[in-house]
Amino acid sequence: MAGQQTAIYRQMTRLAWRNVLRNWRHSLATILAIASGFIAVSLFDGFLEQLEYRNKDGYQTRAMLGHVLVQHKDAQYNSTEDQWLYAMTAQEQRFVEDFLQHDPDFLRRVRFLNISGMVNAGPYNTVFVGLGHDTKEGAEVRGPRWSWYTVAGVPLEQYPKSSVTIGIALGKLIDCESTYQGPPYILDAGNYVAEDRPFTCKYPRITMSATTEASQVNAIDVPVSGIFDAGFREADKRAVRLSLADAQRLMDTDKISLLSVELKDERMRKGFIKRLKAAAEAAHLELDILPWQEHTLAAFLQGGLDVLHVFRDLFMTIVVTIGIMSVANTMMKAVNERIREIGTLRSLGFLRQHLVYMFSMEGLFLSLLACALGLVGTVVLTVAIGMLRFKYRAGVLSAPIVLSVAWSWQAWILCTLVLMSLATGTAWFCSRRASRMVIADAMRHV
Amino acid sequence: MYKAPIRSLVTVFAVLSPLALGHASMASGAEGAPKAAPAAPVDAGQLLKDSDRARGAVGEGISWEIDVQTFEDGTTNQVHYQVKVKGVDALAEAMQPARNKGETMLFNDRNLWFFKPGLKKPVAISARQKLMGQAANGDIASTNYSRDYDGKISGEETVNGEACYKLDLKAKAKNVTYDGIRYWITKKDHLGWKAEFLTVSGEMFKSALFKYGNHLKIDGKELPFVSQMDINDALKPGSHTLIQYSQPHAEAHPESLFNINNLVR
Amino acid sequence: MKAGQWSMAWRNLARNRRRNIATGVAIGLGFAAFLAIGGYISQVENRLRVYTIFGTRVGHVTIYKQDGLERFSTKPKQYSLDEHDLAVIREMASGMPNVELHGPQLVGMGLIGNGCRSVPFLASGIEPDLDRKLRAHPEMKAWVPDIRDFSKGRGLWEYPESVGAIGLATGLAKILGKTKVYDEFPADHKAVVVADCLAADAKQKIASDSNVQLVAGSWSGMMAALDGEAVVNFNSGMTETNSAAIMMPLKLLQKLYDTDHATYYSLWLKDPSHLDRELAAVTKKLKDAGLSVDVYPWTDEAVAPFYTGTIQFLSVMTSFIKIVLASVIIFSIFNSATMTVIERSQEIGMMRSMGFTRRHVRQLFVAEMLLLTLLSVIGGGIVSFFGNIAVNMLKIHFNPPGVAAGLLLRIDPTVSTVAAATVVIFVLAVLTTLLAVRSVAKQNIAILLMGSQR
Repeated sequence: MAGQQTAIYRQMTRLAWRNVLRNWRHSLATILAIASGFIAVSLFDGFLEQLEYRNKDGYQTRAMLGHVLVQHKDAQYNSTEDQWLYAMTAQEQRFVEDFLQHDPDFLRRVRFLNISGMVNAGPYNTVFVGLGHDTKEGAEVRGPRWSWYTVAGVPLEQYPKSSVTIGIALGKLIDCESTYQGPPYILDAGNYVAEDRPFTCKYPRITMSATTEASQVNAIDVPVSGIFDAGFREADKRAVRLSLADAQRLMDTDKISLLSVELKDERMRKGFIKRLKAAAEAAHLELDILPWQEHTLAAFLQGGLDVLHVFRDLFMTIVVTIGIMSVANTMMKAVNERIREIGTLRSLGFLRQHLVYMFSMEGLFLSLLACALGLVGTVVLTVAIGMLRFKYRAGVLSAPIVLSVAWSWQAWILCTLVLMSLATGTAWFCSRRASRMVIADAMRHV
Repeated sequence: MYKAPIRSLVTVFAVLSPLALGHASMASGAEGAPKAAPAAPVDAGQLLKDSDRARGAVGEGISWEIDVQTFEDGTTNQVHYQVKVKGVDALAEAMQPARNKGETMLFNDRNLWFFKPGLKKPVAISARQKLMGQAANGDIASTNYSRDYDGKISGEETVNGEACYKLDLKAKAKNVTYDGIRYWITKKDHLGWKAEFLTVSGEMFKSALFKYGNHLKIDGKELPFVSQMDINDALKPGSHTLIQYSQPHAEAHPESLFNINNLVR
Repeated sequence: MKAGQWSMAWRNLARNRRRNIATGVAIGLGFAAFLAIGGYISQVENRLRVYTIFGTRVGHVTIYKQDGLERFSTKPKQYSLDEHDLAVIREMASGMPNVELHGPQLVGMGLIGNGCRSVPFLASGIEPDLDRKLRAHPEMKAWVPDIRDFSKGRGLWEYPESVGAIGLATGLAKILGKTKVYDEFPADHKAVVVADCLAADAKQKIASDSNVQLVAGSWSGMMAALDGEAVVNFNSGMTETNSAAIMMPLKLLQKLYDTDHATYYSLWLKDPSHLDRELAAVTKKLKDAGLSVDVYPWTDEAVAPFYTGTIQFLSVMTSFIKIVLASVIIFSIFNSATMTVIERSQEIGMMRSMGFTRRHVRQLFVAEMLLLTLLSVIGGGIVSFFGNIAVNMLKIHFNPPGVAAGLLLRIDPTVSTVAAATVVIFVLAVLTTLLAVRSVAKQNIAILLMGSQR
């Protein structure tokens, strides 16, 4: 008996497949509607994924934030009020370094110190707000894509001695500008070709003066090794970067503002944070240990992404609903036209559930074909968009980047499953009523 | 982040330079004209005390007037102050020009307040504000060498025709602006002749040249007193401040004169 | 088309209700989606636009001293508009009929203290009366009420010069411990001097008046200080500035810096639709008057980087969404129209044989689709209307990047958004139907009469 049923269902499945292939013209618009829905959702998801990836890359890699940030407690909220009160002391740093050396997930760390003061170059005098950081480890965290961050000159770690890199706009204020005339050097992701592009400074050495932690005056005299783009013009007018050692020398301190940790595997982050928190508590140290995404530094990004996610969800809902309407349309028509066929099949002994199953399978196959077509369309469009090399600004802080769409496998699979389920369900629903008709009435149907 | 060429603080601190005389002179009392340089070995600490003595601080107080001219970016500013000092407290009031008249600085040891007519209460000037831009001049003028620095004689040089001991001064604590000072004191009269104010990293930030054309009568004795201080900015060539002192005289000041609550009128 | 054809089209619509409902829902939802996206973007764009032009006081046109935009912060005296410049510009602006509001502004930095502690400030000096007019502007009311309105206190224009009225951004007020404003203290209250900032009652003393003190370097290189009363707390609109921004009367800030110059001069236009023309006119007039100035439109990236960057990004995203939505709607309509046409091929054949031309046939189907679209648009519009009300009533608060106090999610499609979406939907409907009908209408009558074949 069970075997007989299986055979019937197998037969109905074959029938459904033949029906779909035979009547593809009638279903073309539906296939196209579903396919376009698939393409829409896949492209948008791929675009979002690419944007998220770019932004994440920007923070994690380019800005050297790694996976986990460690700061003195509440520093992210209060350090603007009193930098030194909320800086990490030497004791806190020793504790963290010791922990990192013994932690199996640790890969590398970068320390940062926020600094501000005055830049003097000849008669020019202007404010700077910058960053001192571990240059070697910073370059490693930035990786091959971002390690070369200067538009002219060389990054700090490439220069043999103490030096400073300055923002483009700051350079303009002190007569320090790029003289590069060669081919474009900005790559698709906004990164640069790694080469020493020429620049000239009217005053090659600048003096950076600042008030130290103890409110004493200090100054260091350093050459400019490179010029970089800090993005936002107001930041670029003041931006400097130098090594942590030089920054600490300038501020006469052994404190740091922030420490970022890169792990061997990002997925180990939760466990790592838990261990470090427990160790800090045991050592009676008040530290904030958190993923960079939860830090105020990333608030700008997170806010933007949250909005985009809302967009995506709304968009998907609408597209899927419209797709379902199309399927419903097609299936209702198909069922209506084939009522006599239904009657015939019923008269031959097929049960209602067999017929409902057949139509459901037709819906399934229809959507499968549509999703396959959608996948082809997605691939073609993804490649085409990449080839267009259309540049756009992904927010106020960034240089224009090339519009691209990620290969979002998860979105494709999810989309297919959702569309197939919904199409099958719609077909099932539409066919139920027709299958309940009295056989004679069905066979007489015009 | 904030750039504040608080140049006029120069005036106030310049005014306060005789504070450098501080306690040492008061403790030892007015001892008449500085002695000739003692025979070797010369004690750096004593040299500092002697040089401080030459810059004032007597008994119940001292008063003088100063003219401060600042030259920066091709512009010149000039303000005339009346100064009253007692121990580590000082009060400086601008008398001219009219736009600056009434501007007052009160120095209670290391605390500095600024007041001018129209303000509802004095402005507390923080350590960081004192150090920004030209405000560094003020710290030079108010430097208390013997109190705040340990000295070591590193050699002898002739500066502007005067034979001098060269001293390397190191701050005793972190609560002074300049971590180190190179100081030249005349061998003959133990007067501070030239100073180079160094950053934590040992670079010269400011420099000052002194002249002692005034005399201060204390207990019938005449002491040389500073008449001019020329402060140069090492980071901004061509930018300097010239402070000229006049009419120094001993004058008893009540303690209440240096009370912050008296500033609010 | 004649009335008879419309009634025929209407009757035909009723013949296949289920399919038409399904198609109608697809169109209606698509229309509602267009409105929702358009409404959201419209809100964001309008808010950003109004915030840029009115909130940040950039104006529609901004006039700087030549190179002033770049170099003012390093050499303010040299790169600011002097008295003569201001007089010429003011006279020019007063004589331009399209200029609704205009005025100079001064910006600067310094340190603001509460008697114990000083933190950096970013000051904006503006004529109080101009500030009042800007805040009263209908655009501010409509789009940025949270910027327009104060968190606490009253506007600068409400106080005489002698008070020294100053507005503190909410973050800055908190840092300084000056969260109470001038009006919250008795009329005769005096500023409290805190002699010992380390004393236990220092904080309390600081909070017991609204006095704040500004210290800055004047443009003549002297130290300058003045105090004022915190009369108002406001939201600066940007997280980055909310802990440093202050606003004050232009004259007061000029007094601090010992100048009569201004950083820039802004013009607000009655009708900004021909901005390029106005810009050219202003530039010419000022150059003819011998002034060395740079004139910027508010859309210039240098003047409004946040606006241009955000809008560009949103445009890319919404264009993509709209294209996709349109495609999905097209296919839905095409699907439905194709099915209808195939089913009714016999009917078409009958009509052709009776003398209806191909054009009549096309017109009939287009009329049906137009009616269906009309109903769908009305339905979608109703759904959108109530949906938007529901969303707006929920008062969903979200934090787009950079916005200090966050935003209330509002979907408010404008008339132009609705009109544009309607036109787009109708055009799509007509074109898609024509495409679907085209091949069938061309077929031979005899073949048509044979009917659809499966």
